[in-house]
Amino acid sequence: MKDVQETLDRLVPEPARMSDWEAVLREAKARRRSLTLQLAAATGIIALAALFAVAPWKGSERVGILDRALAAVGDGPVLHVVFRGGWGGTLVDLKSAQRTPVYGEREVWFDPSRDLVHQISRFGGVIENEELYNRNKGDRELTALWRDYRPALENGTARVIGQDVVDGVPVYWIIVRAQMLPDVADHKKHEFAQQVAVSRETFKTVAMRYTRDRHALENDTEHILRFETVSVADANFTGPTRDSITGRAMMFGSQPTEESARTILGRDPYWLGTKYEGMPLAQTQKARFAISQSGERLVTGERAAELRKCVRTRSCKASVSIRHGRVYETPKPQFGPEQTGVVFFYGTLGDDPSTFKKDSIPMWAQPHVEITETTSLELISRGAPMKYLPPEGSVLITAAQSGLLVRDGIYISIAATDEDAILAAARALRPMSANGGSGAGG
Amino acid sequence: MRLSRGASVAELERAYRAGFPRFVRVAAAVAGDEESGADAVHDAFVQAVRRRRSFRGDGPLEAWLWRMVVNAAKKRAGREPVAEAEELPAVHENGFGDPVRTLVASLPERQRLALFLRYYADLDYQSIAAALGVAPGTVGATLNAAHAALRNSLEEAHR
Repeated sequence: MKDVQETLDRLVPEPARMSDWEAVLREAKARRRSLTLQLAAATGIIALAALFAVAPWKGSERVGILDRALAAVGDGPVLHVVFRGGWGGTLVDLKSAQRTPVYGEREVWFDPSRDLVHQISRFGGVIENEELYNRNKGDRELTALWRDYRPALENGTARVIGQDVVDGVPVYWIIVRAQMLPDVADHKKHEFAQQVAVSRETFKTVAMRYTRDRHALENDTEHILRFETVSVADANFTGPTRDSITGRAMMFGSQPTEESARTILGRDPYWLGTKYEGMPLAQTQKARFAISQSGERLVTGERAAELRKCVRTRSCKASVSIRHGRVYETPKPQFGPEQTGVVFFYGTLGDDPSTFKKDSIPMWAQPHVEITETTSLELISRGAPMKYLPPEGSVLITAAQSGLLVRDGIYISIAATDEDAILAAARALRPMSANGGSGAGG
Repeated sequence: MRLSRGASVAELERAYRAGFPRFVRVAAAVAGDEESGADAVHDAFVQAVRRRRSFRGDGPLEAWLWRMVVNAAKKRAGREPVAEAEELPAVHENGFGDPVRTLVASLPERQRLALFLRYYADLDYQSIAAALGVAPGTVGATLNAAHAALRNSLEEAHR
C-alpha cells in the first residue's frame, strides 16, 4: 500500500510546527490551577462547616488572625499582587560551579470595576513582557484572589487550619474556599480547597495553593511577594496593549558542511568536535525560524455583524472571539524575517517511522548532547519574550533541563541527558576552527 | 484493587519529542488542519502531564497517549469549523490527488483515524483499538474497508 502512504503524506504533509515541550509543562501547571478553580466555581461551599468542627484554632485566636490578615489586605478598589513564578532557573558559574537561583516574577494590577489588568513579567529582575488588557477567562486565579479571599476574611468563612514555614517565613495556612467535589479519576467526592498562607509576623499574604483532601498538589504553591489593595490613584495602568504572538519554527534536514555552518552563523561556530564523550557528531542541521505577530482587534458595524453570523453558522474563516457582547477578530499572522542557526547533535540516530527514512531521527532517550546556536535570540527562545541573558562564563539551567549560555555574541542552547552533561558540554565547547576544525573531544 | 503504574514526566517528554511530527499529522487529519492538529497535540500532552498518575500501565504508554491525542483532535474538530473535503489542500500535481483526497477526507472518521494510526503511528491492531476505544477485531475490519475503498479510488485515478 505504498500508494496509500503517499496519498496520506500528500493529504497531511510533514508538519512545519516545532514541538514545544516547555509550553506543555507551563500550561499543564496553569491549567491544573484553573481547573481546580473552575470546579470550585461550579458548586457552592459545602465543607466549611465540617472544617469548623475539627479546627484546631478556636475563638478569639482564630478571629484575631483573620482580622489581622484582613487588615493587611487593605480596602482599596485595585488589587496589586506580585507572584514569584515556578518557572525560574539556576545560574551556574562554569569555573566555580557556584549556583544561584533565578526566579520569574509576575506583577499584576487588577481593577475589577473596569475589568482591566496590567501585567508585568520579569525574569531575574529583568522585564520580559508587559501588557495591558481586559480580564479574560484565563485570569481565574486573579479573579478568585479578588472575589474569594477578602470576602472570606470579611464574612468569617475563612478558616485557619495550621502553621507552617514557607520560604523560611513562619505562616498560618487559611482555607479560603473548600468544596466536596467528585474526581473523575475515582468518581468519589474529595475536598478541593484554595488556601492562602499569611506571615505569622506581618499577616501579609505570602503564598497560595490548592489542596485535595488537605494535600497540596505537586509544585502547586504560588509564592506571593506582595499582596495588597490600593487606590486607583496609586495603581499603575500604563503599559502596552496585548498582542498575540505566534511563533513558527522549522527544522530542515540539510547537512551543512563545516564551512556552510560558518556561513549560516556568520562566524565561527562553537562545537564539541566530531566526537564527544564517545558520541559521534551524528547530525548537523540548519535551523530556520520565523516569528509572526497578529494582534486581536475590536470590530464594529457591518464587519461585526458578518462575523457574528459566521460564528452562528460555524463558517468563520478568520479567528473570531465574542466577549461581553463585543466582537474581536485576529487576522492571519504575517511572518517576519527568517532567522537561522545551526544544530549539532551528538548521539545516536534512529529510523523515522513516519517517513521510513533510515537513521534520520535523533534518539533523545539515549545519551546525547544537542547544541543549538544562533545570533538570533528569537530562535533560541522559540519566539518567547526573552531579555534576561546569563553573564558570560555561566549557564542558565532551566526547569526544562536545558542550558543557555552566551559566548562571543553567539546564543547557545544545550540539551543533554542530564544537568551534569549540560554543564560538562558547556565547559568543553570550543570554536570550530580550533584544532583544524575537527578535533576529537572527550 | 488495581494500582496505577503512572507515567513519569520524563517518559512523556521522550514520547512527545520523538513522536511530535507523527502526532501532529494524525491530529491534523482529524482536526482539519495542521494548526488545529498541533494545538490538539499540545492539549493532549498537557492532559497527559496532568493525568500521568492515572496511566494504569496495562497497555503501552504510546497507545494511551495516542488516545489522548485522538480525543483532543476530535474535540478541536468539534469546536472549530471542520474543513469540507473540497477545502483540503490541493494535491493536483501528482495526477491522482483529487478523487483520492476527496475519498480519504470523506471516509468515516473511524476508518480515517485507523489509517493514519496505522501508517503514521505505526501502531499494532491492539494499540489502535486502545487508541480508538474499539475491539481489536474491529480494527482489522475497519482498515480492510478503508484499504478497499482507497485501492478502488487509486486504480481509477491512475487510469
